[in-house]
Parts: sequence; structure tokens; C-alpha cells
Amino acid sequence: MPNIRDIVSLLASEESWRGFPQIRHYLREKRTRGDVRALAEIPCRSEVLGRSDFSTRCCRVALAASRSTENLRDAIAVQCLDRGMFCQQYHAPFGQLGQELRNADSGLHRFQPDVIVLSPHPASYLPENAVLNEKSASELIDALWIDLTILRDWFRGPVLVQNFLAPEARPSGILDCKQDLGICDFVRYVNYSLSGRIKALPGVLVLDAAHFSSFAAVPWSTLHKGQYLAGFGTPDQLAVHLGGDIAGVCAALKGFTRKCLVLDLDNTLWGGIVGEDGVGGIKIGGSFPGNVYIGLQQQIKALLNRGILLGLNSKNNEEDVRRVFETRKEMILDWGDFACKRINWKDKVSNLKEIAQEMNIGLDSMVILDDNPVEREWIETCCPEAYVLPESDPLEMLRFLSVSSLFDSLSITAEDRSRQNSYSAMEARRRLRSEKTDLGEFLRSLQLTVEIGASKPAQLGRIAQLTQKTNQFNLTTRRYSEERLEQLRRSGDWEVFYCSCHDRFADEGIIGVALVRKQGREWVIDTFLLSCRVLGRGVEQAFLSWLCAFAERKGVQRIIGEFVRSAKNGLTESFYLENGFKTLTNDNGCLRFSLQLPGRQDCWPGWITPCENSVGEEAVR
Amino acid sequence: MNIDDLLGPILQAERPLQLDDSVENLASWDSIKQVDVILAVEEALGSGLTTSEIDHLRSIRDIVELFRTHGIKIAVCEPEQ
Repeated sequence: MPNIRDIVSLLASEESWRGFPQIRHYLREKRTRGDVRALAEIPCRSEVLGRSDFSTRCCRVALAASRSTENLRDAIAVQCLDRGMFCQQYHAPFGQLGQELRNADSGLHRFQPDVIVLSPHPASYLPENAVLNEKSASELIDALWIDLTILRDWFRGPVLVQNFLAPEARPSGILDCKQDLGICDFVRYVNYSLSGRIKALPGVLVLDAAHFSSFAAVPWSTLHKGQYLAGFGTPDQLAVHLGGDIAGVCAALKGFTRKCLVLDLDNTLWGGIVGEDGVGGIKIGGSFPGNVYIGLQQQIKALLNRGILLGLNSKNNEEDVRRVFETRKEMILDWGDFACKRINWKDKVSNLKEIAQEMNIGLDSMVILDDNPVEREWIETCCPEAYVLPESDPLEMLRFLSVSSLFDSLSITAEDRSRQNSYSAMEARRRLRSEKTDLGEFLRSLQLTVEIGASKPAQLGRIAQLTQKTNQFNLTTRRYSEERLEQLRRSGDWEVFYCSCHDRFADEGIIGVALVRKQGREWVIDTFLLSCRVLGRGVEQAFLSWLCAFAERKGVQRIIGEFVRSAKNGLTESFYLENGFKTLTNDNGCLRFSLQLPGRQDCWPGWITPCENSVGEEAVR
Repeated sequence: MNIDDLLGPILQAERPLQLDDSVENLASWDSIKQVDVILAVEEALGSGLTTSEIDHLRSIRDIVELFRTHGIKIAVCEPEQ
């Protein structure tokens, strides 16, 4: 079992981030509060802070609250570490929520957070002895809304607003429900109204303390010792859940969210072993335990509908498995739901690596469900980056998937909902590739069309998501929120370009983003990225070629391209050089390249057709 | 059980904890750390503390005494002479 010293030593090593998987193992053992504290302080250790690439793995979270939030500190730090990232935190002074939001010189402003958590308390917004009714509820929400509006004036990143916990005491006892608004109804009403208004505010989310309180068996939501000893706004039992959601948002913002769920079959998606029990003998549907597997499949289907990719990795005869999907009508999941399948008798680690390669994602994007502890141990040993759930019981798997924030993203786009189609199309392309011996012939046969243009407001959600999730073909790995992009788009100093494409197999939607800083007759490409789904078809060359041509038409003399090395974007290091740029500077992992536009050589691939929208200037203005 | 294993990482004293260390004389032992201390003690005892017990937990000596009343011996580093 790893200890803190080993973990710090691994995390301090510049070559890799191998310390993070060790944290997961460390947390599996029963740990004291002291152990957890020592772990939570890792992001403050000088050995780790000294890494040149520390900031690529760090999210800055600020909490502003009516009460103290200090007891959330360790939970947030540890949950972030568990997701492969560091968290630096700022906790505004006790009871200073209003002042911190309004004072431009406050600690909250100066901290320059990536994410802000607001944790208000009703007592800060309502007069003492206020009558609890719809009017006072509206006054409370309006007052909170003013704070939120002030915050939105200067902060464009994600904001989490913690909702309210119902106090245990009911002044009228059982007759509380007969009051105009009893205390319980009042809190429910306020929470409902709050989430209703927040729905319309982009980038603002509810941190649902009331929800966690209801399922996490928190015995005393408001009458807890921490409140009386140190003014803590929430009890310790809630901290881990709130920390999980906060860390989930940080991970989504910084590109550390999990994207793919890889599943075993026997005793995981159904009860029993299909090779031994037969297609009709496996347990799925009906009563226990078949109903647990139905619940698990329903939860997996829900993740699929959110855009999470599914893979199969099972030691089985593929024909048996196909027959289960074809003949067992109780199955919730379909054969076509899986973007990649490895059903064979080969080693599961080799299969897993093949799945990652085929899907063009890293092992650190994967979550594995497998009932067999030996297989799990083997996968964890060989692929420590993958998140292997340490559970054999399908009910525990169902519980994990139901509440886990490992897959959380900041938005769900049309591209997410159709992602599975895109991967099915990828499979069809792969078949076509194996039929065509000539690469040029293959690429032409795809009938690839790209559309490139200046972004429109409705596209910013997807564009922000791409900046947050794309790691491999991402030259600078700079993350942007939707609100920040809107700000840039309106500023006049920036251009936000998108690239979408379709071929004869699928419409991929928006798969590329370029953010350009305009500096007179020189443009700097701040961000250039492409979803890994479309790599290798020349879309990246087409996008860059279009961008150069567009800039040239605008009278730009020179384009600067930047490359900032990350653990994952090595494949893009020579992208600008391969497309006619010359090296300008090389500063400690940050390279700058330049291209003189007049007289440049066009690199638009001949097999790609530009969509009409992306040809003329009219389309981008 | 050793008091430093239990409370050392929480109180972050630069030397081993001693019987006379208390809320009054240990700079890091503030109200927020006091919550951590109480929760760690409750965890080690396997039971919650009453308000009265919490009120009397102001020093390492108090904590050692509390453990003793629960029939648990907890070691404390002797101060250097």
C-alpha cells in the first residue's frame, strides 16, 4: 500500500503523474482524519508546487459563504486528487459573503479563481423572525440573486450555488404542514424557486446539499457540532458529497472528466455465465437478482444518452454474447450501443489498450466495471490510469454509477447525444479502410465536407466543452467556459472559429475550435484543437489552411501559432512546422511558430470539400 | 495508540505533542482544528462525545484522561529534560 511520502515523491517527479493512481489505492484503506488531512495538503507541498507543469493539473476554487466552509477543504482537495488533479482553495472569511463579492480588492477577487462556490444561509438574507411565506421566500431569492448578479458581472467561470438544508426543528411540530409555509415547505419552496431561476443562467449550477442530505443519511443537517464549535455551515457527513460535486465541476472544466465506461459481461451486465448457463439461463430482468442487472443497464443507458462512450471487454464467445443481445428481450442495452467491443479469450489488458487506441482516448478517460477481482487487479497493475471500480456486486456498481460525478460535464450538447453514432461510423470507416489499399482513394471515398466559420452564440456551449475535454490534438490545452468565450467573442480583439464536418457515414457536428488573438496585422492562435474522432483525415490541415486564408483576406501579415506541451498533446508538437510555419521561440515547453501570410503555400487537402458556408467572408460575419 | 499518530497531522505541531499542549498555548489549535480534534477522538473511541465532554477537551492532558476513562491507554511523548 502506498504511503504519503511515496505519493508525494511520485507526484514530484517531472516525468509523469503516476502518483495520482496511488492516491486512489491509498483511499481504499480505512483512513483516519489525520491521514486524510495529510493527503489533502499534498497540493501545498513545495515538492509538488515546484513542478514546472503544476498549473496544467491545478484548479483554483474559491468558496464564499455565510458560514464557515473550512470543513469542506479536505474533502474538495481529496476528491480533486482522486480525479487526477490538484486544487488550490480560497475560503472567504466567515460571514463575509456580501463584502467579498462587492469589494474588488477582496481576497476572493485577488485569488482569481477558476470556480466559485456560493454557500448562502437564509439567516443572512431574511430578517430575524421573518414570517415564512411565499413573499419572504421571494425576497430571499431576490436578495441572493443580487449577489449572484454582482458576481456574474466580474466572474465568468462556473459558479456553484449551494441550496438550503431544512432545519430539524419544526416550530409547530406535526402542524408545520398547516402553516402558510411551514419551515420544511419554506426551504423546499426556496430551493425549487432557486433552481428554477438558475436554469436560465448559463454557467451557474446548483450544489444540491438538500439532495445529498436526503440520501446520505445525515443525522443532523443543521444541529451538528461543527456549527456550534466553529460555525460550519454544513455537517461533516455532507462534506464528501459536496466536495465530490465541486471536484466534478473542476475536472470537467480542466479536462479530467472520464469519457468511457468499459464493461465486462458475465456477472456484470447479467447474472451468471452465458457460456455455462446458456443464453436462456442467465439472469436478467424479472425478480432478484435479475432486476438489479436491469437497474444497472438502465443507469448505463442513461450515461450513454449523456454522451459517455461504452466499450465491452469480456472473455467469452462473441456468438453467445450476440445471441443474448438478440434474443433476451429484457436487455436494456443494445449491441449497437457499444462503440468498441473486445469479446475474445485474450488478456483483458491488451484488449483494454486496443479499445483505448481504437476510440482515440487515453486510459485515464476510462472507468472499468468487472466483477472478477483477479481481472481488476491485473488491469489496475498494468493500467493504473484507468479507474477500476473495486466492486463485484452489481448493486454496488449501480450505486456507484448513480451518484458518481466522474463523468460530469458542464453541458450536454447535441454532439454528446449523437456520439455513439459517430463511433459506429468510425467502425464503418475502419472497415472501408481495410478494403481500400490506397490511402488517397480511401480518403476521397469518405466524401468529407467541412464547414468552418466564426462562432455563433448557440455554438459556444459545444466550443467551451471541446476546450475543456480535448487533450490530444490540443496545441495549448487552454480551457474556456462558455461565458468567457462569449466575452472574447464580443470583445472585438478575438475571433472564435469553429469547424464541423460530415462524411458519408456520419455528421460529426462541431469537432474543431480555433481562438485567435488579433494584434493589428498579426494574429496569434491562442487555441487550436480538434476532436480525436476525426484525426487523420486532413481536417486539421483544412482548418488551419482556411484560417490562414481568412486572415490574409483581412490584411493580416503574419500568423503566430503556439504550442504548450502537456502530458497528452505530444502528437501536435510538429503540427505548425508540418504546415509551413517556422520556429520563432522555444521557452521551456512553450513553442511559438510564425507564418508570413503573403506568399504562403496552401495546404488544403484535395479530398476535402469546403462547405459553402465556410468559403466566403459573408459566412463568417 | 499514540497521541501523535492520532492528532499530529491535524495539529501540525513542529515537535511531538505533549501533555501540556492546549488550545491556549498551541498556535495551530484554533476553533476549526478543535472540530477536527473532536471528530478524530470520536472516531478513535468509536462513539460520540457529549457537549460536556467536548467542553472539557482543552488540552492533550484532557484527551489522554478522556481515553483513560474509556479504558484506552494512549501514549504521549515525554518532554525533554
